[in-house]
Amino acid sequence: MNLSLQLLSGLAVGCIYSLVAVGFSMVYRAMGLVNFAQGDLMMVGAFVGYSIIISAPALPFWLVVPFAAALTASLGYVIAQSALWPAIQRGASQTYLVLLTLGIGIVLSNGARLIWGANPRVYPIPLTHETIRVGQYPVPAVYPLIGLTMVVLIVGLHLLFTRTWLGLALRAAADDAQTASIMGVNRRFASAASFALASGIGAAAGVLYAPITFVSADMGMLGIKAFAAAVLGSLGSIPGSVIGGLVIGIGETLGGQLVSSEYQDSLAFLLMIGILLVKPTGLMGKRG
Amino acid sequence: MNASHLSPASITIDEPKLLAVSGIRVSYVAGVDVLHGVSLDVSAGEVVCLLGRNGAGKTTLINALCGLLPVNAGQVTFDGKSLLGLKPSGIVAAGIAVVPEGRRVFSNLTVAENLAMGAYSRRTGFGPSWHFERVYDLFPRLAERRDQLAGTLSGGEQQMVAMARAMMAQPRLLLLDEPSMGLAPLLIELIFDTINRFAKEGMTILLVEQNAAAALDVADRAYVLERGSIVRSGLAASLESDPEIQRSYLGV
Repeated sequence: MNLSLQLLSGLAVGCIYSLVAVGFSMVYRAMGLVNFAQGDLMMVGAFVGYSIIISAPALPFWLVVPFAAALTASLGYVIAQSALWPAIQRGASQTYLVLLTLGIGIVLSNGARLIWGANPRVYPIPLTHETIRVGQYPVPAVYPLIGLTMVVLIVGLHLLFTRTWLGLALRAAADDAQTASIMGVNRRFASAASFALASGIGAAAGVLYAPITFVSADMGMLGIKAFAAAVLGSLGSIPGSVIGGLVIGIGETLGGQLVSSEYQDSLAFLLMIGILLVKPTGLMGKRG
Repeated sequence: MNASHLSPASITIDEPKLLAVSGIRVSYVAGVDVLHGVSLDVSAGEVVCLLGRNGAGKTTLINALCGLLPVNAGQVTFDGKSLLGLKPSGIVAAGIAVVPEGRRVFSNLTVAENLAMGAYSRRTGFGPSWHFERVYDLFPRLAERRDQLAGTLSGGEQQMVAMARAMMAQPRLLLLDEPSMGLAPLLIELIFDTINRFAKEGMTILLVEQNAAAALDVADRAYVLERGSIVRSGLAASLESDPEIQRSYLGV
């Protein structure tokens, strides 16, 4: 059945949106700002993965994901410490902070163009072309890996947030940074750690997305759709971001199939607008 | 009994004070002091209360003591060591825990997680090494609600969470900022009962209150803060019977 095949591909892309959306929500909770560089951090992650594959071709793909995530998370940490925190500490308004993240995104995408060139890259690994059979239809072999990584990351995040001092401190600081600081949490570290974590998760999404697309400096545009996913799931809620990503992924793929694939991108936003009209606080939002 | 603590010079150094604040100036905006050279001290095992109206600078003093506001001039020592320049994390590690004004529980964390955060400065392994039992003994109600989100609790229960959370740090000095604010009379009684219990166990407490009658009842000594300066100080009992204090703070 062709429709179930579309459903699978929608689910796979949806997982990518979900992971980037989770990054949006984490930074929003921790720092109170919408980080429009989130998509570009995903793009950087995909390129970092590309470089890892080129320089260590023997490395299995599933190990490329954590390495690229760790490197991108470090970059995120540096960005948060050097650019965002000084602005927050000087009391920059929301507008400036959002512009700052947009600027960081532009620097990242142009930086990527400078380092990796303007031409789109393809991961030179078999996984890019491999397919597995689902029923009688061929499906990209990376799909199960995408699903699995998403589950592992979400479960891992849940354990981090509920079973470790770091996670507890990050949640407390997201709730009330000043009170967390009088318990001994370093506010600057907490916000940078959340930003780094979100960058790492975005990078993992980028590496997993790469085999089913091209890696290019414009790849970060996906971040806008992931933002829509985070908003429709209600920005700041991690389960909401996961559900929002899946709704957008499946919705745009199925909708594109039913109407016309040219409308695929608009459908993602139509979905968001439609859901917010019915439930203005998002799917997981509380009343009021 | 009267204004013996007015000037920093009058602080005697023969008996070591657990907390000694001398002549501190604190401001939110550079050049506009909110505290104009405040001096006070708290000895180990003492309950000292700080009275004052809204805007007198009580919370500013607490925030300066826990490292949220910089001290522009003067000195703050805790157990003989200066606290100036320490971050909030350094101050809680030194042994000072705060019950902040307005409770400030972490509303998206469970009661147990809130209490765990209180022990953050003493964290070792995650989980079993927490000293919950003693705190749950003090507040059995919190034991019943340990897995409930703190934001869903009543104001009185949230105040208990805030106090229990501070106790989890196993502090040597407890700063209480307006613990009775916004609570029903029955709950206020419960909160002051708890403060009394802490005091009987030998906890050193600096209590900031607008509810002067209740505060003077639990305190050994008291200071009165007006417009950023200490205007009176003395034994709680003598301030309680002072006509001027009665008129302006006790509503007699």
